[in-house]
Amino acid sequence: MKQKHVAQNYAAGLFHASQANNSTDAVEADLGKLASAAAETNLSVLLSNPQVDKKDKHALVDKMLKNGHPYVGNLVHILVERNRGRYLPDIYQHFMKIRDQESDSLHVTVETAFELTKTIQDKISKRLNELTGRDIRLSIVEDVTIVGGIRLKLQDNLIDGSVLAQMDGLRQQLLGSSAN
Amino acid sequence: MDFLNQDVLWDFFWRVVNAVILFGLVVYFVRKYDVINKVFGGYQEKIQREIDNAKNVEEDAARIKREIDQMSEQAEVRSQEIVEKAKEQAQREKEALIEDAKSSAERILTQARQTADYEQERQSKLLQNEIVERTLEKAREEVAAKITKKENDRLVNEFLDSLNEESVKLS
Repeated sequence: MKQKHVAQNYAAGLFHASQANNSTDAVEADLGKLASAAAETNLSVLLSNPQVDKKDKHALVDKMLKNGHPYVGNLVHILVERNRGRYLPDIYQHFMKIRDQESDSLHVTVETAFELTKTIQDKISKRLNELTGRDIRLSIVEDVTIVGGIRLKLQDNLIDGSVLAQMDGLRQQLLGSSAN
Repeated sequence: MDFLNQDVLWDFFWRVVNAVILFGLVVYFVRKYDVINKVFGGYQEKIQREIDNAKNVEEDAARIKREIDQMSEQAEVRSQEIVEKAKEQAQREKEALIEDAKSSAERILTQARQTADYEQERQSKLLQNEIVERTLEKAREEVAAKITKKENDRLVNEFLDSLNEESVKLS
């Protein structure tokens, strides 16, 4: 609960600063990359670990955000200073929610096993715009474990059109029928 | 000689007279004071009492013997009853034990059957799950190896076409 509240505060501060600077897209992109890296690796644990020298942490952040937006860099340096690197994925999620609310748009993370063409990306945006009535902002994440198809994350809603999901459905059917 | 014989005769005569007088006196006093009865009557009574006592003792002994015989008979009957009761009790306990053993055996057998059935079902389910998992893993590997970008695009298009307002409703 405390972590959620803290993450909301950081996200709100970052969003309003970037909005005032007309750099919301850039901040969102850099924060997204960093949050993905933190979620997929031990980065957030490393940044929160008080036993790791802060100088090393700052050096790592500088290296990762060499060409990134300075707002994101500043935020991560603050998190490092306070051993709160583990909040990064939550801060990103709250940043997206705030932006969705403020701009009446919708951020959608698309997980795919294959690289998506511009045509397909446009079709996804258009289709979701038709169904939600909101502007769509896409983030594409490649994940070969889903085998094929795509998986859409709209805030807390997961819509799974992957081959992996179909196989899970098939598994449930087979195990269900074997149980009867 | 004659002289001597005469003195001896007189002496004998007086001795006899003395003896007769003494005898008469003794008889007189004995009769007067009933000495014989007093002396021998006590003995007679004592003997009679002892005879009576002996009879009583004999009667008591006979009575005690009768009582002992009676008690012995009763004890025999009682012991017979106790033995019979003990036998009946032992028989009842034996039957109860056999009954308990039978029901325990049935219960254990039933539990063993249930356990065996459950284990068989569990193993069967595990095997089925294993088969399903392996089949799906194999299928996943084959699909992952064979799926092309074109097929993936088709899947994405089909998925997007299948979406409706309900499926993208935000919580």
